[in-house]
Parts: sequence; structure tokens; C-alpha cells
Amino acid sequence: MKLLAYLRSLATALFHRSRIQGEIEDELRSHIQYRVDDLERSGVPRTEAERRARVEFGGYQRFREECREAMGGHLVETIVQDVRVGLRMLRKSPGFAAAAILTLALGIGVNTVIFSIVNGVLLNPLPFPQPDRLVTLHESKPNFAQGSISYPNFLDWQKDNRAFSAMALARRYAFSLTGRGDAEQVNAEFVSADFFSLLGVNPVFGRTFTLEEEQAGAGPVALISEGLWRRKFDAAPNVLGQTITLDGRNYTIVGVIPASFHLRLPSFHEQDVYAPIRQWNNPLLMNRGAGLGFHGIARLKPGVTLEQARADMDEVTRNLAADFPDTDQGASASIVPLKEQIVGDVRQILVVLLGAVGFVLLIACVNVASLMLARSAGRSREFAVRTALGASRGRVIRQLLTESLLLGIAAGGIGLFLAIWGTRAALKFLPATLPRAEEIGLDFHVLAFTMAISLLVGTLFGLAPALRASQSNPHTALKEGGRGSSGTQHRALNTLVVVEMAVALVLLIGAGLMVRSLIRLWSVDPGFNPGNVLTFGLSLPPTMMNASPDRIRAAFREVDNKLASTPNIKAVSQTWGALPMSVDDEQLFWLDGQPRPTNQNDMNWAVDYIVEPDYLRVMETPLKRGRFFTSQDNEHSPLVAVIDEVFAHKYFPGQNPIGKRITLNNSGKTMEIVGVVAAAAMLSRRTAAPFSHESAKNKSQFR
Amino acid sequence: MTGEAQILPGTLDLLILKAASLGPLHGYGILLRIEQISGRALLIEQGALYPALFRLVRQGLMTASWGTSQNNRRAKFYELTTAGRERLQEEAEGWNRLVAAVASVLAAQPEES
Repeated sequence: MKLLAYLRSLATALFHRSRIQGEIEDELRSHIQYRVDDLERSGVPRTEAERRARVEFGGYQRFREECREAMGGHLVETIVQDVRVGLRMLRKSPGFAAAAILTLALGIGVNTVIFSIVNGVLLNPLPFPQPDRLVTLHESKPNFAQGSISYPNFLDWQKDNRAFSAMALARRYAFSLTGRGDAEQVNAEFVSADFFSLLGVNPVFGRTFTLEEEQAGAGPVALISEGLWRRKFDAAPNVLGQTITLDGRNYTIVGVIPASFHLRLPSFHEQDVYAPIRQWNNPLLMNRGAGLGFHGIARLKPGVTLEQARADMDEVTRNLAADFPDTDQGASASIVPLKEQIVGDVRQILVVLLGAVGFVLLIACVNVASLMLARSAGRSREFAVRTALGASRGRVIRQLLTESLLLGIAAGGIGLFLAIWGTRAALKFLPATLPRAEEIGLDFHVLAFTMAISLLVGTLFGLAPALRASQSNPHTALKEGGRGSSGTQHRALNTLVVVEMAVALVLLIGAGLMVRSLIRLWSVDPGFNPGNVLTFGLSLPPTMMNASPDRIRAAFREVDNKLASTPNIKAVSQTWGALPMSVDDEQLFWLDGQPRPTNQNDMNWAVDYIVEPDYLRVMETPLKRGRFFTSQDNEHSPLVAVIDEVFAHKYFPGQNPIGKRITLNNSGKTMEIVGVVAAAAMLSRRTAAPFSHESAKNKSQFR
Repeated sequence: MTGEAQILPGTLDLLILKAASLGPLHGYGILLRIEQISGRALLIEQGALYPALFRLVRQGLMTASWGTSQNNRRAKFYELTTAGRERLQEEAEGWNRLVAAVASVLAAQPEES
């Protein structure tokens, strides 16, 4: 009942303001009139009666105000009034207003840009159902914390685990697409059947793969992207059941994956074509010890924690190691939450950036606060007059707070525009490798963040001068014309200056450190020079599939010759797995002169490049020792290899590696080391034993 | 100032509730009644009555309605609600307890303490 009465009076107060004001005045005046009548009746002359009635009543204006306050709903009214006065004050000093608003707008704008990015990359959940249940899987082996999973191991993991509701595998591939306009190399992923259903990605139409389609001997089927569907099939609605010719085989299209699907993992990118794993004709696919660049994703069962999943997978891999000691000894599963895998190292950088721009905003606030304080000194007389006229201390503080909130809101508005523009600019200039860049945008959270910042800032820098103003004695202030409290003001300003210096110093040190790290990062010699290097994928036509090695070699050499004879091309090299940061070809090897280790775990893993003689000239990688490949290293000459410095240091410490020999496990071939090149810094981060450049001549074995 | 006492802060509400409990009254009437029943011993700043009245209405302890007074003047009449009567009772009891306690403290003899 009380609440109802309260609400009713609040509503009345709000909606019938002027009428209520009139009624209050009526009531107070009628009281005074009664008093006048009474006094007159008791013999006081009329003029004297009127005077006495007024004196006895007390401060008419004050009680009228208090009545309105007591009615409730008064707050809105004073706010409107405060805003009006505040606007008038700001208009009166446009210089101050402009300086304060712009300073704050810059701070808020920059903050919002960084927060937009942090929000998009770090805070927003991944765009999949129950994203926190998703993890990525790797096989950790000696030398590779996140090595690739062999397909037979994956099948056993899938069968034996109890922690996951689903598990899937993927690996990149490039198909030659023919028969639809110009032949084209399309990027593809080989995936296991559950891949899309695990993520909760539904095709635009059609279906994803079935378990039968992942079996050996299943007919070739493919999923295509919405982009490829529009580009190559003119968005034809009857695309399902049609065929697409990939590497000379006809794949039946069973579904179209929506363009909104984005997923970027080291081993997986959204691509134009997806095919079941078993369609890969790699002879090593069913080899349990092969490192073929497969990495997995999985969905945790409800209620299963990451630790429980790790324990479960430890048991699974232990059993496998017991069953297949030759290949699985020392191998275990590495489970990383999907978001962590995607966001990776960027998290730290972003958090640091957010902190840094937070300091910038803080400095902006302090600046504006000192501006406000300096201004309020000139206004202490105004406040004194207000207080003397009956304004309460709270009322004066509220007025000042309103003014600073006005500044904050104006700055927030301008800052928002800055932020919209800045986010676009930032996305344009940020490295393309920024994860989840496509998800970044101004959204409701960011808007709320900006508003929160501007309101907080307004309160923050409004409070100091407001408190100061409320402390001053109106009597002194009036008497001394506002000079009375200059001591307090100096102290407050001094504090602000000290705070500002401290914050600026912290920021300066932080910025200095950041610049130094950046300079260091730039001055790191990556072991190659990416400037002016162009890369592209290349496949021979499907008709060459069954051609003789000699014909294949001749075809590749012709490509080389044609490219090399093009004007302005300095050097050409075909490569296999030799683009920095995209390496995924791992090889087991052992040093020659020792018997073949009986167990693969006694061998060493290395990253394997296959390149041509001009590779060093293309990449501008320095040769440290011996020689690089020449055109004389061909199919008729003995096998040779070049290693990098890290490899040399690890396996031939203190020795000259030139003339030493190593044997690769996959091919069983032994080759002689003829040279040592500088290590590519980008590689050594991911692999403990970056390795050899193998001559391109035995390339045909991979076709 | 002889015989007159400033009212204690917070007691104005109690006095208003008591005055209005005897029947609907307009603001000036309430003032007169308080003066009358206190034998003009209590000094009230007249204007202060009104914010208190508005507050009591907002709290749902009183209702206010416009009407006509005996001498045919438009006036706003205040009346206690049920909640107002309950509050009056509570406050009156609280006040009596306080007065009794303070009185007994003041009546205490030095040797007894």
C-alpha cells in the first residue's frame, strides 16, 4: 500500500508538475491568509498583520522548495533544471568546454577502439553452440608439444575415450578444380565425418558427411563453401548431387557450408572444399607413426572438466603406447581449449594495450579535473550566493556533478564516433593474423562500455571540485569575493599535478618498454627476407597423375624455366612445406653410422623442406657452411641435404656436419649433408629441431 | 521565550499525526490544534509544517483532499490513514518510553548511582 501511494504521488509529481506547483503555492498562501485573518480579528492592523504572518511563516521560498522535494519526483525536475543551468554555464565558456570535451573524447575513443578489439577477440564467446566445451587436440611427442595426430591413433582415441561427446580431425590440402571454367587450385580441408556436427555448423542446404563416407572405398563426396557455390555454380539451388572435379576425380556435392562459418586454427582454415579424410590418397595415411599434419577438435561431454579429459586421454594414450610401443612410446594427447588456441599470444598484447590506453584515459580525466578545479575557483562566489539563497550543500554538489556528467556524455558521444572510425582503421592496419578479426565490431557491449566510461569519468572529475566547493564557507567566500579558499585550491591542484605526473611517468615507462620490445622484434633476423617474395600454389593437371617420374620432372622444370624467363623475376624455387610459419611436414630420422633404431622414439623428429637450388636466393637466407644445392644435384646424383644451424648445433655439436649422413625413416633413404644455412627464426618457435633442406629432385615421390 | 520550547527534531511528525487523529484538518488547523493542546508551549516554525505534511502523505500515513473550510475558503484537508494511526500509536509509545527513561535518569539521586 505504501509503495502504491508512493508511486502514485511520484506519478502525480512527475506528470502534473506545474499544476502541483500551483497547488503548493495556493496552500501556503491560504495558510498565511488564515493567519492574517486571525491576527486582524485579535485587533492587529491589517498591514502589521500581514507582516507578522509572513515572519511567523518563515522562508516561503525554502518551504515551497522543500514541499516539492518532499513530494518525490522532485529529482527529475532538479535534474532537468541542473542540465539547463549546466548547458548555460558551458556555453558561457566555450574554450573550457571544447578543451575538456575533446581531451575526454580522445581518451574515450581510443579506449573504445581497444575495448572493441579486446571484446571481439577475448571476451565474446566463439560463434558456436556451447563454445566453452570445445577443445583442440594434438599429439605431443618428444620435440613437438603440439605435434600432429596420425589417423590410426585418432581412430583409437575416438573409440577409446570417455571424456568427449565427439572428436574430429582435419588437415589442409589443395585440389585442382577442373571442368568449371578456368582450372583453379582450390584450398581444401580433409576432415573426419563428425567435424561440422561437432562444431554445430549446419550446411545452408544438404548435409555434412556420414560415418560411412569416412570408410575406405567410399565413393568420393565433398562439401563446398557458399562462396564457391556462388562463384562456380551461380548459386544454383540444385547443386546437391552434382559433381565437382577435384584432382581429376568426380566428387558428389552433398552440402553447402555457410559463408558465416569462420574458424582459424593452425591446422584448419575455413576453405572452399571439404572432403572426407579417406579420400586422401597418401600412402602413409594409415601409418601410425606418420606425422601428416592432422590436428583434432573435440567437444567435452557435459560435466566433464578439462582435467578429467586430460586424465582420460592419458589413459587412452598409455594403452596405445603399450599396444604399439614402436610408434606410440612417449606420445600423449595435448588438449587446449579452442578459444585459447585461437587467441593464443594475442591475449597478453591486448591486455597490455588495454591497460595502456586506460592510463591515457586516466590522464585525460586528471587534466579535465584540474581544468574543472581551476574554473571552480572562479565560481566559488557563485556557489556562495547559491548557498546563501538556501541551496543545500547537496544541491550545489549535484549541480557540479551534472555539469561534469554533461561534459562526459558529450565527450562519450564524440568518442563513440572516433571509436567507430578508429575501429575500422585499426582493423585495416592490424596484422591480418589477428585472430577473430571478422568478429570485431562495435556492439552493444562496447556501447555500454563507452557510456560507463563517460559517466564514470564525469563523476570522477566532477567530484573533486564539487567537494571542495561544498567545504568552503559561503560567508567567507562572499566576503572575500572568492579568494578565501585559494589555499585549499592550491593543495588540491598540487595533488592533481602529482597524480598526473605519476600516471604519465608510468605510461611513459610502459610505452618506452613497448617501443623497445617492438624495436627488438623488428631487429630479430628471421633468417629470411620476406620482402618482394611472392608465393602461390601449383598443381600439375590431373592427366599427369599417372605420368612417369621423368615426365613429371620435365613438367615442373618447364614451369621453372617459364617463370625464370619472365622479366623482373630474380629467382624461382618450387618448394614442399618450405614457407615460413606454414610448415607441417615432420620426418623421423636417425644419424648414419648407427643401426636403424628399433623404436621410432629413439629417432628424432625434424621439419622437412623440399626446395630447388634458387631457394636461398629467393628467401635471402644466408649460407653458413659448405654449399647449397645446384642443378647438378638431380635424379642421377647421390642424395644430398642441407641443414640449418640449430640442427647442426643439436646433432653435431662441435663437429663439422659437412659430409655427415642421415637417414629418413619414411623413405629409408640416406643422404649426405653438404651445407648449413641460417635458422629461420619463425620456425624454431614451433619446432625443436628445425631441419633440412632436401633437394627437390625426389619431389616426385609425393605426387 | 518563557514557557515556550523548540520542538525536538523528528517530533514534528508525531505532533502532526496526533493533531490530525482527532479529525480531518487543513494545515492551519493542524497548527492551531497543536498550539491549543500544548497550551501554546510548543513553538513551531509555521512553514516547516508543510514539507512535513507532504512527506507524511507520500509515506501513505495521511491522505489529502481539497475541500471548503467553515469560512468558505478552499483548503486542503489532511486525514490519517490506517497506517497513519498505527504509526501514531508506535511513535507515541516510543516517545513515552523515552520520556520515562530520561525522566528516571534525571530523577536519580547521586548516592543511588
